[in-house]
Amino acid sequence: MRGKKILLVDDDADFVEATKIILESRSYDVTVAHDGKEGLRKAQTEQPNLIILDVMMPEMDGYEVCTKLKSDTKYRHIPILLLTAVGEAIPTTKYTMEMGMKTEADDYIPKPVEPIELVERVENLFRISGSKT
Amino acid sequence: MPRRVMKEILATVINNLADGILVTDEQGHITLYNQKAQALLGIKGRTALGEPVKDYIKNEVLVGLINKILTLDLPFHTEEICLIDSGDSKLRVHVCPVRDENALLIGSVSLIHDTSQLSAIDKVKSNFLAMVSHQLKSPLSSTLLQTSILLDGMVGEVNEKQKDLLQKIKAKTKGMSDLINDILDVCYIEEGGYVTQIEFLNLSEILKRTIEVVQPQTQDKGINLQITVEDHLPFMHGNKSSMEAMCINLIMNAIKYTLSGGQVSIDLSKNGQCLQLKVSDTGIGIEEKDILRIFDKFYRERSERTKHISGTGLGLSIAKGVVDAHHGSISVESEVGNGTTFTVLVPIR
Repeated sequence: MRGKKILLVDDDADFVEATKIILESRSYDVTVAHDGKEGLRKAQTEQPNLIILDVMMPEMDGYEVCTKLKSDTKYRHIPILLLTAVGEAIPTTKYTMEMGMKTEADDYIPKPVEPIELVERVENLFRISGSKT
Repeated sequence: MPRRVMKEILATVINNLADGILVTDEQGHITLYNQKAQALLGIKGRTALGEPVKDYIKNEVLVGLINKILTLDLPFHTEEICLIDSGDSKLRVHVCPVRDENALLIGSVSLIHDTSQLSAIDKVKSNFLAMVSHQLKSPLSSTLLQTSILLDGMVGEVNEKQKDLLQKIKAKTKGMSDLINDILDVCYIEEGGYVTQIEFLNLSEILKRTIEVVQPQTQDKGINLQITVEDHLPFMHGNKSSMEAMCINLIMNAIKYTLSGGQVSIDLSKNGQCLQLKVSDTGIGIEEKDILRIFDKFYRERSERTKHISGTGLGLSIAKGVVDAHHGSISVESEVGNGTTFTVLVPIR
């Protein structure tokens, strides 16, 4: 699990900083992008082992980035964890988890998120993608 | 003032009213209408006077209301209020019976008010609220995460006093974040968004997922959760995320108002052409004076026995909004000190 590279794409600098602290405390190598376009570019150039992707972003939203990556055979294998800003434990508004699922994301997690939950989801995704290959 | 002049002034006033007015005799023949009514209801020409209302008014709902008032001839004052669609505009109509001094029914009078502008303002307000809520939610998510990091000691040890303060910050921030979620839900219901995406739903599946979400809370509080789901329930026509919101709000509410060691029972079954969801608790119950208001937005019982329970006051209004949008019904029975039962009935299609 250790030493794996995670690309974190979110336009909220505070959220990025906090998430980075959590992931780095688990020895993950974290690369950051601040909007959807930069996220897509870095996904292609940095070849991360996993992408954490916010939904609501300027330029290009998370769904679009996810769809673009999942439709490209070169990047399809990279697990994507979508962060949905709206909706609680169960999605209750427009940007529902349902939409997250339809974009072929590998998992989704609603904000606000607990550090332990985030780490568990990330580890779980690595476990699943590891067993596939 | 001579009678003739009076009559002319009256006619001018009626013609200049901002609302439409339409009067019929007891047979349902048009006896008077003003320019605004002509415009709003699309009455063509001046020939409508003396003609049956059904021949000149295209809107069946309004014609139906007028007929109802005239045929029922109820002894007391009645009034029918309804929102009707007329082309691009939404009209609110009031239909009242007209009686002479001997209380004999001699016709009907309809007031027609164009609410299009109001609806447009409402939509702007709703969008504004949603936008503001989104802007508020993001920083709160970050603050919560930052607080959790501090609390978990990821960036250095915290002492007991610091931990206590951080926990309070976290609880308050979480409360605000919950409130924003609820406000977003209310906005969405008011926009009518839930009605637009309708699909075949497996309500038992939705209920199962909801229960998974609330299970940790019931365990923390030592509440016994009893679940009964009838086998082979039919799928229903509805909006998935809103039904999820309805289930979680009702169940969370039951858990919230039930003391440790109590019980929450959930029962899903078929009742005629409807699915019936019953959520019962052995909680503190609702006082009679509050029962009529519990579905109001932001209404919360304020008393000694509820002051330690946190909430936004929107949960039940969300649940009712969802049930209404599905043409269902929600009812409540409660006894102070013994518990509360909410019963939801939603048509299968």
